[in-house]
Amino acid sequence: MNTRRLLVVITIILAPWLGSQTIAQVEQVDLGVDGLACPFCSYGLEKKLNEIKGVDEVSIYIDKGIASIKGNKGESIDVDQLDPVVKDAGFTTREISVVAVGKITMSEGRPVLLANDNNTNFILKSNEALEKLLNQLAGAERSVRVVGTLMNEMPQNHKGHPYTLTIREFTL
Amino acid sequence: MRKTVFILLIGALLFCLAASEGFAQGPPINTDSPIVLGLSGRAVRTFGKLIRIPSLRQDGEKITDPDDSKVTVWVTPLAIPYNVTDRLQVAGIFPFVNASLRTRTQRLSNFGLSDIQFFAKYVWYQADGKNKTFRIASRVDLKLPTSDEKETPALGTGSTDFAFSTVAGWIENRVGVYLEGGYGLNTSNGGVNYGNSFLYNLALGYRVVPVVYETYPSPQLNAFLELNGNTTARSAVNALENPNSGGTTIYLSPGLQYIGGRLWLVEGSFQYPIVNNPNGTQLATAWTASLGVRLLLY
Repeated sequence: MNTRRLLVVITIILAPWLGSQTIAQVEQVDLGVDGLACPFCSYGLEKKLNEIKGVDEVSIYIDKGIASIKGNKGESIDVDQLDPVVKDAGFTTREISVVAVGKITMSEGRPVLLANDNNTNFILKSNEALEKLLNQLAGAERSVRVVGTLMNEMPQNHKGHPYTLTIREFTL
Repeated sequence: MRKTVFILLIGALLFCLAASEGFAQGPPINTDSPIVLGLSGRAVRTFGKLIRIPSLRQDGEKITDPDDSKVTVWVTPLAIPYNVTDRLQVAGIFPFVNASLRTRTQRLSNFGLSDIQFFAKYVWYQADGKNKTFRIASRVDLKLPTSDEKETPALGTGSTDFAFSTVAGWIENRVGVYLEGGYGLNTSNGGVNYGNSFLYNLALGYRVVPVVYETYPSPQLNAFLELNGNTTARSAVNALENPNSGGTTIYLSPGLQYIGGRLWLVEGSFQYPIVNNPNGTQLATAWTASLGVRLLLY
């Protein structure tokens, strides 16, 4: 009985943290890399991408110029490290396409996809897909999986994450 | 005098190797590359290069050698690079040389470490696109007089020499083009003032297989066709110009390179001189052949 009570207490204490781990994360990244013309130059890129926090598996598709990154289960890929790592490996980032799970909330009057640590949030760029998503949510806080493109641009006075996210597809 | 001639000969050979072809750190086999990544720069490289010098030439024409002198040089350099940043690379090159001289009357040979060389290479221009890149790098070489140049055949020149070169490389899908030019500033030792050199290399690379490179790493076979040239000014012995020194050699160098995985490649190249004009009367190179590996250790 005491053990059961202890487990309940631990669960209550960890619940917010456990919950946030499951509601928002960058699960997958397709990283467009320019300069990937010589396959024998790719070793450093693969190695450095594998060292990024949250990365489980890296596949480099030379003909497409893409490094496809899968995240560890339950962990978010640290997208802040992607561009510096690509540059450090001797290449140029073309685009960052992500599959991310999170909650849509409003921050400083803008819709954001809130990530697990409340610091990693992507400001959502206004487009048709976002309007459709907001309409379907109708103000409800629900978990949403989105596929979109990250752009490294910081709106004025915004103190959060430096990326904006343009949603292409979503599922509720 | 004969000793001076062989010091000049071996010195010129090693300079040409050091400054360009032999110690190139690029995906082309004998030409340098502005890409300092992966197997194209970060790999430890070694190879064996056989240089056959079997005939005497006078003003570029083959003549009968009364001594029937033949020189064979086997060079095995070990190049160890270190990337300070993604654009700056430094390296040490440790060439082991086995030089043998055979005439009608004598056979001489010498083996050991030749002049150690260091270089720094900086990529100062980079334009990347999807499946293509264009980069330019400049390189400074320093060759130290670490070898035994007192014996015959000498293993180096005993002089401290410098080289400055720039290489541009463009790669798109299956094709790569590399162009390199450089200048060697040679100093003197033991009364011999070594002539300065120009080097000029052009390399065309083509990925034979796979036709479409999908997932890294995949086995890859590259073919190269290179032109490797150098023109060396006459040397001076005790302030007198030696008419039988320096000259121009341009090699046509076909080669193959097989990349078997992330960490290694093997490559081979044959060099045939299409321009073979040593100044005055000198022994001239008939051909060279090399076989080597590169290993990515970090």
